[in-house]
Amino acid sequence: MARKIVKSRYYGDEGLIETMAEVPVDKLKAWGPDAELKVVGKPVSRLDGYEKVTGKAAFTFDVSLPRMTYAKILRSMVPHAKIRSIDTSEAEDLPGVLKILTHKNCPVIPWHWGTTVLFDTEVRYQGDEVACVVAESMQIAEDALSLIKVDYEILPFVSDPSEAMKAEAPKVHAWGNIIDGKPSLYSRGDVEKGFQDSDVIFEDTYSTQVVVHNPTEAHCSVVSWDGDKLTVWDSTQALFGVRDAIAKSLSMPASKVRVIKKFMGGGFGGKLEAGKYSVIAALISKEIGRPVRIALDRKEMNLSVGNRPDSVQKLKAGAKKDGTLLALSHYSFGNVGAYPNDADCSWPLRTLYKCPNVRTEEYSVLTNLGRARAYRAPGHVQGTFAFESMMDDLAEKLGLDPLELRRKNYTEIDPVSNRPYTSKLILDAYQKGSEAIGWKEKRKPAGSEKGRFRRGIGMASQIWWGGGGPPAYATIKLNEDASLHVMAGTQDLGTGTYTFLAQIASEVLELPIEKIQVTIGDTETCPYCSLSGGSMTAPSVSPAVRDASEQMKRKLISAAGAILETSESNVKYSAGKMSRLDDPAKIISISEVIEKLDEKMIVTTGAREANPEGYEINTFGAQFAEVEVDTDTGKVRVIKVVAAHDIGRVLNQKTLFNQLHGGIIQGIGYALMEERVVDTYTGKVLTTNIHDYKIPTIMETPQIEVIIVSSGDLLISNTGVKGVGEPAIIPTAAAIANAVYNATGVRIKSLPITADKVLMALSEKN
Amino acid sequence: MYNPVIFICNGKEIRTSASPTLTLLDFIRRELFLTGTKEGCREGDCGACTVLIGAGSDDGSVSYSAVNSCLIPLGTLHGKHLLTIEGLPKDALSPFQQALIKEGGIQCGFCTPGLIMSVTGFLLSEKDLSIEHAIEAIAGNICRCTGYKSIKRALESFLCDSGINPEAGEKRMESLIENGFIPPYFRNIPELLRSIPPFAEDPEDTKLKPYFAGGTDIMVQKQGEATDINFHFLKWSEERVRVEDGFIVLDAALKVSSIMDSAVLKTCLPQLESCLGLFGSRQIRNQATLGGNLANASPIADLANIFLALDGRLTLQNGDQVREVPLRDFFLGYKRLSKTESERIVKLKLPVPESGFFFNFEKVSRRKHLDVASVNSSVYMKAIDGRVKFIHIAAGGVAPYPLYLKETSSFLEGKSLTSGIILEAALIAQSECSPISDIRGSEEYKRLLLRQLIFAHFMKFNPELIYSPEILFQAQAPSKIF
Ligand SMILES: Cc1cc2nc3c(=O)[nH]c(=O)nc-3n(C[C@H](O)[C@H](O)[C@H](O)COP(=O)(O)OP(=O)(O)OC[C@H]3O[C@@H](n4cnc5c(N)ncnc54)[C@H](O)[C@@H]3O)c2cc1C
Ligand code: FES
Ligand code: FES
Repeated sequence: MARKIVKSRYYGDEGLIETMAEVPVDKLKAWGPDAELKVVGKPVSRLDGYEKVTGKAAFTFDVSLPRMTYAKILRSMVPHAKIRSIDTSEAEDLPGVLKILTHKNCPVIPWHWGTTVLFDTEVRYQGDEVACVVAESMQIAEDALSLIKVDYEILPFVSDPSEAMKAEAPKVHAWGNIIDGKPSLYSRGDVEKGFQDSDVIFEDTYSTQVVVHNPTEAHCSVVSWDGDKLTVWDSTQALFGVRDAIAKSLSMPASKVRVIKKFMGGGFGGKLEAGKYSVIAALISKEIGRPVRIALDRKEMNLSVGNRPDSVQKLKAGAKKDGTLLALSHYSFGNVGAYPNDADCSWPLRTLYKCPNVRTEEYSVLTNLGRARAYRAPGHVQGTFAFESMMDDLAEKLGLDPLELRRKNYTEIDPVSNRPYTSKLILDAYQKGSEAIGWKEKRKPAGSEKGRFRRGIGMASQIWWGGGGPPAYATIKLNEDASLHVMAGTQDLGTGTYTFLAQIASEVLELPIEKIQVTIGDTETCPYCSLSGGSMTAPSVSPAVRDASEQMKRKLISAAGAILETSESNVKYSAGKMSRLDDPAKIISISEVIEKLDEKMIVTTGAREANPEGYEINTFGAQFAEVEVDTDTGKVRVIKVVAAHDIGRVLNQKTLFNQLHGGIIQGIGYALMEERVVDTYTGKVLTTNIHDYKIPTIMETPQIEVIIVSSGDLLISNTGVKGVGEPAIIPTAAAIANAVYNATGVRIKSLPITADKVLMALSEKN
Repeated sequence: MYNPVIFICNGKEIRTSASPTLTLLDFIRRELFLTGTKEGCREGDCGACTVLIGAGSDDGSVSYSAVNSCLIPLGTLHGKHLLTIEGLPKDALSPFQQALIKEGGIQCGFCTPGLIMSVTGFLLSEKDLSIEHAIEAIAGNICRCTGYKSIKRALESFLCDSGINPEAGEKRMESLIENGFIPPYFRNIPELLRSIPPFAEDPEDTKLKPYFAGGTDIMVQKQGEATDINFHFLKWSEERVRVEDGFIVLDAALKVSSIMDSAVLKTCLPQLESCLGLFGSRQIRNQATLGGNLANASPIADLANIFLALDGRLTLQNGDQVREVPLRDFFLGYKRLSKTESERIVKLKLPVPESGFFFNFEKVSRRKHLDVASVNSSVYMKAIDGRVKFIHIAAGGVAPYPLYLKETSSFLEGKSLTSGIILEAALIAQSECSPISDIRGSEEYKRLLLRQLIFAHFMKFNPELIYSPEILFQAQAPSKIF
């Protein structure tokens, strides 16, 4: 099928992606809202279920190769120091130790955009890489670590971003503690005038904590060389990113690096980049000529592989008496840790509502702590908590129903780009969500509840990108026995990619799903797809699979026409059989066609089409929370969450529910308990295990009602899918905070909303 | 070389001369290559490593409990049956496995094997097969992906029509085999276990090694250490709860779960079971012992707190020497005990509660389950016509050791309870404690929380005493208290 190269522009997990992409010239017609689909959208059970419930699913963590060796990294125990010297002699003498890598014997490989190298002589946070031991066993590697002597010249450190922003603060890097040396700015209209024209001004400061991804499977790689070819099993969300980073680091052709990832125990954004650990393992493996396994432990997971940056957000809103927003301003800073990243979080404020005058000023601040990374809807989660808390405060001040205030400022045009949205069903989400939670009947004025246990209801809106875009490709191979192989260089984080790709092929070709094998997670055998983040996997890859499947169908029809001696338009395709319309008795099966073609299989490759020009693609939604606050102890319990979202077409109801429920529970963790705690006197992290870093258990699970208000976005792609992974978590914390306010009349402006904050705030109020 | 440890893994006998202190999880994954058992934290906090351990008893039956294999040394497995995910029926998926797939109770699948083992343990050992108990049985299995709703649905869908015989014991086991939850080889396990000779004890002097009871503290503390340390695996003659001479006697070896199940305690102190439901997770409760909790002397230890209020007395033993210490005098300072290193705790005695007594336990932690307290507190009292006959209050997390609130308790003794008296008592309690700021809360907060927990006790005792906390808040703003 004809292809062309176009400019592709869409938003990923960390903002705008602009790239050239090969796309089909002719777009397939999207499945309409009333398309009668038999497999897509149905609650199909996941195809990898059997492997997962039997313990047979092999995760990277489980990969074991003959003659495999074990690597363990020595990490800095201090937040900031220069390494005067390292003595590895005693460790090297330990029987079973095969190789120790330090800055002394490791090639200089730039990392984090050249701000550091694989093993730096200056360590900038507790957890920075100092050395790596490879040994015959884990135990020996661990023993050897304790025998390495490092002489540190301790340097002053800074762990609080507000301190780090000061001129006299210790410098994390010689070039300063603020990324780019300046804030990132955005403005539209005239904010000062907007405030002047406002009847009501509201201003406050909100803050959020650092949270850590903590997927259940640790970051890990197993690497193995075969001559000059390197195979890397990695627990990653970005196959090709890992491949290219390793190839570049080791100065080898990308074609010689194969990255494989079959199953992974979650990522949530923390596994979107290549890790130093993979490169270190590859270097050592090459030298010792044996496979190396490297797996981080839970402490390393909590120190060194990323987190959601914190934020301090000073917000100001100006509105007319009737609630019309006239001006919004946002000033914030956030802690990105020791190496560059960004902590920006103003997108919700810029885009959720119509407001002519907006100004934002955001600082991403370096400190001597573990580096921030993309974490499920980066920026939007922090930003939505603050902004939607403020909208609730503003509504209270205006004497308006919070939902009314939001409806009042609804926009169909993206306020930043002035482009229309391909679809926006947030008003439906407000309507259906508020009905489900009982907004009208159950919600009382804030703080009017009496007694020890007080209930309240709150809500928050959600906006995110999640439209995906090209390039993304899929190859399908149809065998003579009418079994099918779908291949795409994407990855399944547990999100159900294997299953929904099979569903699409099954839908188009009307073949049973049991006959479809999906291969993803392999850079060598699969065509390119982008990383799995930004809720892009389904919207980017599903249309490519449909494209490939439709091409396959056309090929079969064409072949059948030739064999049945008629025109293609006289051939009807049905469930793997082609028949003449004018003579239905003349019928031929896939097997017969392929046999006649004298090929063992037919192959097609499909591509994701271009996004429509002149539009913005966003997901929308609203969540409503009901909470109960124990005013004696300050404990907050979430009773119910209603999640109403516009996410385009649903591909699979079961995996959709998983995504939403999981996002909401992570949102509850973020709202109520998860927090990386740092001792600012020593610069050390106090929560380095999941005993101290609290993740919700099944006992924290409230009632959850999911409402999908969309049925497929006809403009974006042939499947009409938008992503859901990130929308799920975005509004949860704000909805809970607003519900706590509604229950108690006390506003908790900093996350997490722990019992101590509530109790102290309650006792201050009285 | 170590003396061989022999046990049954799934259906097969395993004989190994690996170190008895090797962590079971590592043995399973690295030596047996059974990688269905996952590793998520190595500290008992995630449940990914959950396996079942079956121990034979004299009557020939085998009782199973779900435990975290990351907290178990290989040596304690001798003579036992280890069940991993690979040991479940092979021909067909169990009804729970099927339900998980059908209801979508899986995402990445990393937590799934541990979850299935917890549920299998629940089916084998739980008396009450209700959905509430099933949920509670998996509170120690962290899932970062699914949000648990679909797991809950999977539990509901198979439990409503599982064909399992609710009667515990042999009949239950048979029905589990017949319904495909466990494989038929379970029938041979008692026989196989009986054929294993007792562990050949190393004659080496064990005096200087730390005692090993359940390991839930000691194995976590060991994690940081690079080399294996040796344990003295405690051998117990008995593990039960009984009434002797007006005292309830608890052996130190009792697991938290056995304390919860004890018929004696259910009668004498029915409140205890639900209080202990807040202790760790099912896996932890199946391992953690009474003696370990008291000897570890963590300031927030729940059992220490509860038994301080219940006026417990300890029996300590060193060889032939036996002595008794009131629990109140046992804790001297941070991890300092009125006990020599070679003395071990053998028993705890509690006076049998008088009729009409009141007991309450409060625990506030960041997460309701699978968490240790910011502050915990227990009260044990009896009041006649509103006048206190006796009262004992304990508080944890507000001092370097589990604290008996001596002055508060003696202040209240003999008093007629009014809001004012309770407020005064709370003030005394606050002056009696010395909390420090840490990740479980600031000093100020813990002090405030202690007062609130004292209110909570009396709210439960008689809601009318403290019908509205505002009254008390207004009576004295916290700034004036501190
Ligand atoms: C995930 C997790 C959750 C937890 N949650 C809670 C909780 O909610 N509440 C709570 O109170 N605790 C909790 N704990 C702590 C721990 O489970 C308890 O303290 C437990 O009771 C310790 O008992 P053990 O048998 O496991 O002790 P072990 O680890 O075997 O021993 C602890 C210490 O006591 C010594 N010791 C053991 N038995 C004796 C004896 N008979 N005589 C003398 N010394 C002895 C040992 O030498 C060791 O120093 C938790 C732990 C974990 C890992
Ligand atoms: S590995 Fe987490 S509980 Fe054992
Ligand atoms: S499914 Fe991923 S941790 Fe449970």
